[in-house]
Amino acid sequence: MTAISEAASDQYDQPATRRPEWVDGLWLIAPTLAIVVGMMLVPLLAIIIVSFWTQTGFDLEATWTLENYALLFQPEGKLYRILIVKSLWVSLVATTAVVVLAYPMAYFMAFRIQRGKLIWIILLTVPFWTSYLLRVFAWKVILGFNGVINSGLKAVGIIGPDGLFEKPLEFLLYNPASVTITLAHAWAAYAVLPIYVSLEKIDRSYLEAATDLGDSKWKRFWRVTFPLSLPGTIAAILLVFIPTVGDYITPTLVGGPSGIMIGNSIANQFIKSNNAPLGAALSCVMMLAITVAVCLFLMAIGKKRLKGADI
Amino acid sequence: MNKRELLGAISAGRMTRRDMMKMMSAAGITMAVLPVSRAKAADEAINFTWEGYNEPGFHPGYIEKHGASPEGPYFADVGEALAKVRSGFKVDVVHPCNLDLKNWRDADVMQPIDTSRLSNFGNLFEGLTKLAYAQGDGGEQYFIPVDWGNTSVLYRPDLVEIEEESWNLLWDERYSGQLSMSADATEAVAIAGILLGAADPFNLTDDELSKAKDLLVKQKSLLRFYWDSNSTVEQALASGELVASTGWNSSVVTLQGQGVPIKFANPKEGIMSYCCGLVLMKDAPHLDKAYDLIDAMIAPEAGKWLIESYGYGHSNKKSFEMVEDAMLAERNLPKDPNEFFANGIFQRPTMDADRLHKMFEEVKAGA
Repeated sequence: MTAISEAASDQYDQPATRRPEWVDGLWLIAPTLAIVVGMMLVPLLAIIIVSFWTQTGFDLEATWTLENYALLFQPEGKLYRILIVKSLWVSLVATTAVVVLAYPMAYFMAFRIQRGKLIWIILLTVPFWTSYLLRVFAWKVILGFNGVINSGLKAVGIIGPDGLFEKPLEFLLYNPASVTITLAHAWAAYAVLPIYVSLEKIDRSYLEAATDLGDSKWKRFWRVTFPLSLPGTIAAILLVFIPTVGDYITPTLVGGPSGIMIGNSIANQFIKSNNAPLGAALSCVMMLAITVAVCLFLMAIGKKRLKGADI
Repeated sequence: MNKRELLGAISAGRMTRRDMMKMMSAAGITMAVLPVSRAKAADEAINFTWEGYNEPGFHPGYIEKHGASPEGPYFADVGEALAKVRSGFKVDVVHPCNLDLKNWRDADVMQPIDTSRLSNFGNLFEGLTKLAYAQGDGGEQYFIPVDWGNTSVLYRPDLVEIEEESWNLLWDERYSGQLSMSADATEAVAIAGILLGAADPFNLTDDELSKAKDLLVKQKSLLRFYWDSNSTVEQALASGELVASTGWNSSVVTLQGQGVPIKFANPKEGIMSYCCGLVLMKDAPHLDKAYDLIDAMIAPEAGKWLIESYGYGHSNKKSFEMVEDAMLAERNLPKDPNEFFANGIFQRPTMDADRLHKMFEEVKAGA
């Protein structure tokens, strides 16, 4: 009897002598941690440090100064402030459009599809197998002067000598609206999937109970389904909003002179204007602006919901 | 564990999570340490250049000797090219223009070129090899001229009504939304300077610079886009999306070849002319091949091809002897570049390019 228990204790260490569990965990996340530190934290710190330096000619002057930040809050910095607000606005509109479009898709997949859900999910992600650049270019082709929409309208006679418009529609491309449209499509998958997951998790008996207690379909949706899908919806909003504010390639390709965003300005500081410190300061201010916007959004949703949301 | 055992273990469900993790990490490490075998083309000289400037016609001698074209990454404008080179992009030769030479010298990225290694150097126009900042303080050669041409207004005579040709066409409110401008700061600011009648449009005074900025801000709302590749401009002019844009000689040849009615203005304020060429990078990875490339690009055959198919002038005197006079007349090219430059406003090196980039950036970023 004793022999057996001794053998058992040899095989399985006593809890007291075991290594704490988090040490094992540390090994498990070590590769990820190394990547996060090396590829995110170090560059981020570098950006913050450089933003307090100045540029003289082709060299960085490593004396600490608030000059770059001061510029952004002086009258000369007005255009950058406007650009940040404009970028936040474009992203906000695009995010709203994405979520409004994605929600019905996710709802359809969660509640209407009974068999072969995987196929639907795969179908949904098919456009996202191509590169981001290609998708933006596709929109350029769709919205362009000789693009799909304009040629289509020409073919049915809406554009032409006798049509509603004499010339192809020019307002489709090279403005903030085309940036918004492109962003709304390019980020759709990132919104559909989290919303779908949270809808899928909803216990169907709640819905039956709501119907049994006399809720109409519409009421049931707003009182049961929607609140329970909030975690996914909030995740979708953040997933789309945060990266799109700083987007650079979409406005470059479809934005035209009026559609540029803060990302273009930052890229220009680093590349053409040869002013890395100002670019770094702009990046920091942009990150700060996004943080503030996200905090305001989360506060508006309310702390209680946030706890339930479990993000 | 061999492949069959592995697959067997997976299908029989004998694979534990831990085994799976081991396999996955082994695969991951293998992928990460596999030597990246680059294609053979990587051994060729790297010619960092403008769109369409790494065509075989530019360097027939190089292909003859090495059996392949050099690698040709493109840049959209010279400011971007310098930024890339400075941030560690390893290339052999770059193709800036005389306007940018001061900036490239300041950046300290070039090495002097041993002209005795270039068999064609003796036949180049001396006026071009001795341009300002083409040579160092001690007379060493940094810049080997290759091509020269014009920047002017390309326009569709069938879609535009003008009384006389002027840079003003790019500010004409009747064609709002159908105009375009180069995204290159130095060129855009110079155009505004020419329109203002500045004494030196390439080095504006502070007062002129702020006036130029107002002009460019005014223009911005009239533009369809700022272009950064000439094929973009050519397509947009061909379709009628644009009716006028800044552009270069080669676009005229290309568009005329496609049967598009196109004119290259000779503005009353003066047509802008430039000379571009090759500079050798300090840390050029393929130095010998880079010399072969430079020599091939200034050879008379390359010049003949350039004149005939792109419509630019070439730096080698002998290339003009190989082209028929009628062709030169059609291309509007005199046999002496100095005569050509005297007809217009020849670009001079910009002393402080940063100032222009900063100003143009503010124009673009403005609401």
